[in-house]
Amino acid sequence: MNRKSKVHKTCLDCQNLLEEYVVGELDSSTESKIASHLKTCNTCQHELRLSQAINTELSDLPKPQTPPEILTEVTAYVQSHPAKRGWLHRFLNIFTSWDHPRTVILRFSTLACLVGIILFGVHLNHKKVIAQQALNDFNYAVSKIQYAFNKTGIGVNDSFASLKINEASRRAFKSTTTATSNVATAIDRSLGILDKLTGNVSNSTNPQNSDSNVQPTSIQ
Amino acid sequence: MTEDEFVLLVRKHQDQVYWHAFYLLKNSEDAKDMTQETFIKAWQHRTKLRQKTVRAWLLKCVQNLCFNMLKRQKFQVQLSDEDNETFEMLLHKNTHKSIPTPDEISIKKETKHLVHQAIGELPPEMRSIVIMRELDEMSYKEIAKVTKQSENTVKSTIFRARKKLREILNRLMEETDEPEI
Repeated sequence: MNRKSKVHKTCLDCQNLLEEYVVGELDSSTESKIASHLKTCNTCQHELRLSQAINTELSDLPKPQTPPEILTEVTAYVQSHPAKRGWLHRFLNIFTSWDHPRTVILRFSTLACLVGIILFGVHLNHKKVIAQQALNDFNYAVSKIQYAFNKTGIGVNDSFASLKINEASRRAFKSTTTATSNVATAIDRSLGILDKLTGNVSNSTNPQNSDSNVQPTSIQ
Repeated sequence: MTEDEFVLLVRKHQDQVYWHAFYLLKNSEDAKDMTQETFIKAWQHRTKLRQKTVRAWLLKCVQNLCFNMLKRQKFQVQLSDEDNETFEMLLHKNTHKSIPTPDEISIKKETKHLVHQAIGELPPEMRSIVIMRELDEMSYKEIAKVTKQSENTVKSTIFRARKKLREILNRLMEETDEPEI
């Protein structure tokens, strides 16, 4: 029973690989195993002969003669439906026509021109975007400055109470304002002194208005 | 592509396209119609054709047209005797082989007939691949491009087709009580 099933399995294995064996696409060890089995197995020999007959017939399949009407009728169809010769078609044909050397050169030249135009366009657009961005930034800065000026105007002209700021900030603002007013007073005073000095100088240079008793005021 | 270029293309590929259609449809008139339709479609889609892939495109097109026709007409894999006779007759028409001796005829004639009958009984998809491999002598890679399958799948289909042919041949020989080859 075991022997019979073993033989049967060997035959199946052999017959499964017969086609590869016939065309010589097996490795040498498998090929030798099948060859040795074929020497002793009549059933597999019969299958081998069938496989060889099929292989012979396949390699020698008859080639039926092509009817000449095919060419004539297809040619007639092509002539009755000629290729369009519009400029768009010709332009598109540059990219789809056959690989003729002249066509290849033309194709590459056109492609290079197109790529150049596209890159130039991208470059111009990039510059325009940068300029627009700079203009936007400038406008924003101007608007900020304008806003600051307006706010400053409010701070100077209006009372601090109207600004609605908290007490600490108000005190700081008051101190700052006081300091600023002190500085302004000092500057005014200095300017007054300078005016006086220059007036003295001008008086001293004028012999009619000269006054040697006038003493310069010390800066307090 | 100009008209002249296209006519050259037809001249170059018409045999292969026709053989393919003929082996698939097993009828010369239908094969002629499908071949013409294939080239007309090629002319209509000429802007999409490329020189390197035009053969694969044509074979795929004729294959699809033939499969559609087989489906439409509900072609039976097993032909009637009359059709089979016509197929056999057409198959051996205009083949340039050496004239066999009477002995060879007596031994091989029936076997040849049975093998061709078995080829006709293969499923169309398998038959198409076998034709491309055996008749058109295309590589596995080229067939894979046409059928859009991997090379390994194509190779395995070819060997499965050969095994199936052997099975069909065995059955046909039993039916006709053909003596052993």
